[in-house]
Amino acid sequence: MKNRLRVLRAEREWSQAELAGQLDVSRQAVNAIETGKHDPSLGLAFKIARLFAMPVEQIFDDGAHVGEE
Amino acid sequence: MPYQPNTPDRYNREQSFRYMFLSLGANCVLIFDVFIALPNIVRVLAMGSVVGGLLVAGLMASRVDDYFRALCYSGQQWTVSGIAAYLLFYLFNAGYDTGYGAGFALGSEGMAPEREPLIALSPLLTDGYVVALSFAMLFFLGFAYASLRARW
Repeated sequence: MKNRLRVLRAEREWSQAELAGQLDVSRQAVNAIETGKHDPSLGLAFKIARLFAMPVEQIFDDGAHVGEE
Repeated sequence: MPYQPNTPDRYNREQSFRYMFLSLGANCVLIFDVFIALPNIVRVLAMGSVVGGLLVAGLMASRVDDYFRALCYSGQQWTVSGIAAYLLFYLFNAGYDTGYGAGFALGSEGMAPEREPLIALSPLLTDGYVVALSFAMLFFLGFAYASLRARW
């Protein structure tokens, strides 16, 4: 799943470790999510959305566009 | 925020990942020990590390984070596949032994075959300690493979 986590983190000048600390996950988890190798759980996705004060769908993109089917 | 005792912090979480790689190394040492006996102190330390890694993966994975759990799941898939391959090997051998025994009995008026059944031929494969070490190795390899694949 594509996501904008790296961009959002860079905008705030946070390191992966700092973001991991705020999300209560490991730095490895942040790296895996940023590179698209791991999809976060629903709970973590909401936590990320709350941290960046954005809707989940503005951070994560599963490639399916609503209304196109 | 409610107080949650023993909640792991970021340092603890990252240590869990490193510990799994340490356990992989320790498991390699134990496999090596099966063929060339190592000093007891090395064996005990390696065994402690492997057992610790398995306990972290089995009992504490959910306390680390989602990603750690996903990596453990990958290790479990490798282990389950290994068990299937191991039992498949036994299935083929047992099938061959059954067929050979039945054929021999039909062709020799009910006498039992003289050769050893295939299933009894490999002592290493029936040694519970070696089998457990091999499956633990598969678990740590699956974990490491999934972890390294996520880095590149």
